[in-house]
Amino acid sequence: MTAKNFQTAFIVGAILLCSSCQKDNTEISTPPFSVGKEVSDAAPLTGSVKGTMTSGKTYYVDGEVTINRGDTLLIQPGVTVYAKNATSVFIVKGVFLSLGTKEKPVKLSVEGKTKQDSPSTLPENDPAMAGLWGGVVCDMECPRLILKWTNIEYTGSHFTNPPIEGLSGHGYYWGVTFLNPEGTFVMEDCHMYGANTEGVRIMGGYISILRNKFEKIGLQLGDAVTIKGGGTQGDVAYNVFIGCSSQCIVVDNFEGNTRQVTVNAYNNTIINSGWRTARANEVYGITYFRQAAGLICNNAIVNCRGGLFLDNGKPPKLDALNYGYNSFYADTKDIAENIYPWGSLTEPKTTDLPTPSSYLPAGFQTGGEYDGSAITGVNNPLFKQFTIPCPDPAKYSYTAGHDFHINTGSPLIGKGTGTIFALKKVPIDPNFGVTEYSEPGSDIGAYPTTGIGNKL
Amino acid sequence: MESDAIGGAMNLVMKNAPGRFFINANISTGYGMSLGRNDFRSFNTGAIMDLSPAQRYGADYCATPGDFSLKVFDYNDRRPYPDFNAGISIGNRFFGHKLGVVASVSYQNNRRFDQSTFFEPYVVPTPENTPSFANMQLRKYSTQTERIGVHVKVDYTINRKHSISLYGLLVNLNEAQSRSTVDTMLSAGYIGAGSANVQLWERSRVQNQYIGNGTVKGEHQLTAMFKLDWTGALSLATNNMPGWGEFQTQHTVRNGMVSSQPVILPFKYIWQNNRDGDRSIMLNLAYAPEAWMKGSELKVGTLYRAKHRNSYYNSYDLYPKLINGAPQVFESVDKAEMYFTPVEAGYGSEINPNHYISDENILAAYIQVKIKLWNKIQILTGARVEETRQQFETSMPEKFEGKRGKINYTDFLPSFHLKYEIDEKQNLRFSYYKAICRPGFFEVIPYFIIGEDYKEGGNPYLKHTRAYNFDIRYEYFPTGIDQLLLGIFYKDIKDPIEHGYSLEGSLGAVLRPNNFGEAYNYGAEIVLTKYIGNFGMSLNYTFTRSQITTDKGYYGDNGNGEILTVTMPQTRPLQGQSMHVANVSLLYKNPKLGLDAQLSSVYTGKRILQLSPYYGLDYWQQPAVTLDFSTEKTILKNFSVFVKLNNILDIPVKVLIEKKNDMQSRIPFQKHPDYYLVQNDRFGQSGLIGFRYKLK
Repeated sequence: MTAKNFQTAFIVGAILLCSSCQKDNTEISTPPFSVGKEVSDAAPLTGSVKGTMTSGKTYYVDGEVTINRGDTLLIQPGVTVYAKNATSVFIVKGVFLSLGTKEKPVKLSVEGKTKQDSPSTLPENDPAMAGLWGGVVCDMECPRLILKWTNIEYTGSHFTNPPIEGLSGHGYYWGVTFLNPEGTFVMEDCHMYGANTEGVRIMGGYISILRNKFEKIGLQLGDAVTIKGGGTQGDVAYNVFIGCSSQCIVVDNFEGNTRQVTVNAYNNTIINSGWRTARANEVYGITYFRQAAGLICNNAIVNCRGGLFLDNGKPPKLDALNYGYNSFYADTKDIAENIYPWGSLTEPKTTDLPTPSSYLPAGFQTGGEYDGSAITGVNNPLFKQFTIPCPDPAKYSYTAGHDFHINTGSPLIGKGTGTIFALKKVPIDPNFGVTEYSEPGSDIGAYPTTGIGNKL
Repeated sequence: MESDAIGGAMNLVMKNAPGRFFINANISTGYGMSLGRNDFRSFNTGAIMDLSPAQRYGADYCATPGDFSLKVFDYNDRRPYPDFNAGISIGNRFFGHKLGVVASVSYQNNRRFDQSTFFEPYVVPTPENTPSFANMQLRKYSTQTERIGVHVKVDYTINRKHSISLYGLLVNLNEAQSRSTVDTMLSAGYIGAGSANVQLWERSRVQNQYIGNGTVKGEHQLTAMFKLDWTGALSLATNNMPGWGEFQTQHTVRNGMVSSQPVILPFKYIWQNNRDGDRSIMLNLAYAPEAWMKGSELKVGTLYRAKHRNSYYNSYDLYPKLINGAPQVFESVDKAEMYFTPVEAGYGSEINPNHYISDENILAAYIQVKIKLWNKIQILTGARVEETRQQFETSMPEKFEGKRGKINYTDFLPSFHLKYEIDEKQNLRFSYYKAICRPGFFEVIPYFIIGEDYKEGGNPYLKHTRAYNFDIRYEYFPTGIDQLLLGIFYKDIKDPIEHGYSLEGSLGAVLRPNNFGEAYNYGAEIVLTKYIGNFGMSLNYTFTRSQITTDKGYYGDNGNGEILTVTMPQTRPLQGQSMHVANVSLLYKNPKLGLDAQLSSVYTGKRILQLSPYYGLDYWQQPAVTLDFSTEKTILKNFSVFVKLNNILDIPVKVLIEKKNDMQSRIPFQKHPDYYLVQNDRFGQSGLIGFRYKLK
């Protein structure tokens, strides 16, 4: 064989060899979930809207924008929506889906505002609670509201024209309003920053409120999450509440409609709330009253003006209420003495922290008076980055610069209970339901060491 | 008779001027006894703002705290001036008695102090409809009432056959009231008497009402057989409650001692007023042919009436400023810093269901026959047809259902009245008539509100009530002034209107005015007046039984461990109706001495004061007795002096929920096992002394 022949044979052989090395490897991108037509960002939205707000775009909302019955509005990840003025509001009669992701959250806010998170910011000057737009209002027949990885900011403006029937008794918008007893409401991994009055008002439906952050809710009046009647059932879990003006979780069976109101409130971390309201009966971290039922476990309530309130005037349904494994921290005697509010029906449980028998007087009766000085400064949850002991809890009302994960050695570890379960009233579905349920865990609070829990 | 007469009708005829000049004047002064023990709390009514900022500057005006006056909460506590009343009536006839003029003016200015203990129950009871109380309130009312009345009647007899008259009326009620409340909260923080959160409320309220009426009437004997009379009337009524405000603070009490600084709570200023205008014209033609028996006649007539109402309501929420991020401590009202949050709350809330206009136009015609038989029997019978056209327009947005509406209906109303003159001293009467009762203007406005404690709404599909009324009465007049009247009555009331809960699917229980089938009302009445010499007695007793069945809410376990509201029918008497009402007066008249005296007592049996939407939880006012005394004595030729004493017994009036109270109650005043106390009022005695001048 000549050298030239050998070269050709080598080349042919190499080609033959390579062609047998061929592998099948195809990757085609899938279009992101979308509904109907694209919503144009050319002009501010007014009147009615439906379709898909496209990823990455910025939209403006001017005045009332309605999603009509039978229509769907989908907001894709990375979309920013700015309210142009105080009358801007989403009025939802159809389906509203705001589906952000961790990397590309959706933002529903007001342009040009800078967050002022520092202990020297006075709440009366803080734009967070100035009430700049109307938020999302769902009427009594709205079938579905899904909010995931969505930042909702600066809500709580005043209205002169009532947005929907039923709300003409007062003149202000709540951040998110959901009223349909047969509807579905999911709020996962969202961040509600600032509201002039209430954050989330639910008066009906099957709900899941999981792993969210609520900060600076309510300038003076306004609870963070209020569930009131309409047969509402579901879970409020792994949320962080900080710097809210009055109560953080309120559950009320109201006048008893359709079904028994049952809410499982577990693994929430509730900090520095209840300081701005003047009403002494609205200062508690968690309140259940008027025949509400459910579960209250694994919650950490830190330096709130009141602890867990089971109302003695309008009692919750005590035979259907399971509570315990809650941890309380108080820097002052007044805070400590409002953990089990005097006159209330809240029984101290042996599973609570600090252990009630370590400081309550012998022969203590439910609702009785007690001296809280023994537990001031005791049971520090050991958050990774936060001021405890806190000289002035009212001033530390924000999450920026803080990290509420817990260090090793925290008393919250291993003191929760995993033997209770979420109600799971909403089916799992990435677009129309819950992405994932976080079950009650063996650590107290929203950031268990197991890694499940709040991701914000 | 007009159609709207289920309870009967009252025919007010103003007297014409008598043949000679007369003058009747009186002046008196008095005092409320409770003011001897308590101070009267007054405020500067000039500080009340007549118009809301939106009324003054337009709906586009965003009010600021400077537009509101906290000066209405500057109170002055002192013993007040005594009451003052005066009145004068004069009249005469001119031009040979053809023209008569009577004019009358009266003025009253008095001050009262009342005290009330009030337990505010939660609207939604605890399960199995057990009442539970939110607050215990001690309320003190200081009320100053000024009344002015002016009447004028001018009548002109053109000739024997024609006359016309003109009547004018203007009454004004001006009331200023301060209310001071100590409210003990019975839930959070309530450990027992002496340890609780307490709120102090100070309310300043002014109410101004006017009623004006001008009526022109003519009577014409056209021919021997035909007589025509016509009436044109114009009325205007206004009710204005401007600038209502209530200042609130809260503090904590531990073991009887104040243990925290008082903080200021948010509150509202409210403006509400309504103006009702009424124009009507009536024409009646009577035909009495000679062929008929004397006293018989055929009459036809027609009525057109147009009513218009303008209702306004607006409120503003004022918040205390946070001071350094914390609730504002209260030092004094002058130092309170209030503001609007957000700023746009300064627009107020003018758009609400109480802001509307409503029209009701009525066109009616009737025919009536009066027959006198054998000089003993008088029959009055006839029928009326009345068409009602109602329309309303609310301030609610166009996008809401029911911003406007029209409601029309026609009624046929027969009636029959028979009077049998047994002899010249005794009569027997029998009557039957059909009457209607229209829903209130606000009840038919279609609104829906989710409130903090219940949902409520209007009902434009409300049917008006129709009642069939039967009466029998025996009358005996033995002498000029003595009388004995005995009567029984029965009413069958179809579609009565009451407020009740209705379950409306996913809306749940909504409180609405509704028609509730049929109600019955029957009873008996006796009136007796007897004089023996100078002494006399007047007695009036009515026994009434009524029954209505409405749907009420029941809050309790549905059998599956769920606490829900269901509805349940409840039968009870009509609201406000007492089974027994009696009044007795003992009179003494001595014309020679010129002395008159009267001691009278009124007994009102227990009755429902306020209806609850829940089964078995209506508020019952307990039986009440009052005692009053008055006397008048002539002292000089035309002068007399009079003295009146009111509410001599000063028995407190109690309101209860009649349900077994098994709770081991830690609340004061609630230890009675058979009932829950809701309210306990004391009104105090008062007295008056004055002079009268009569020239006839």
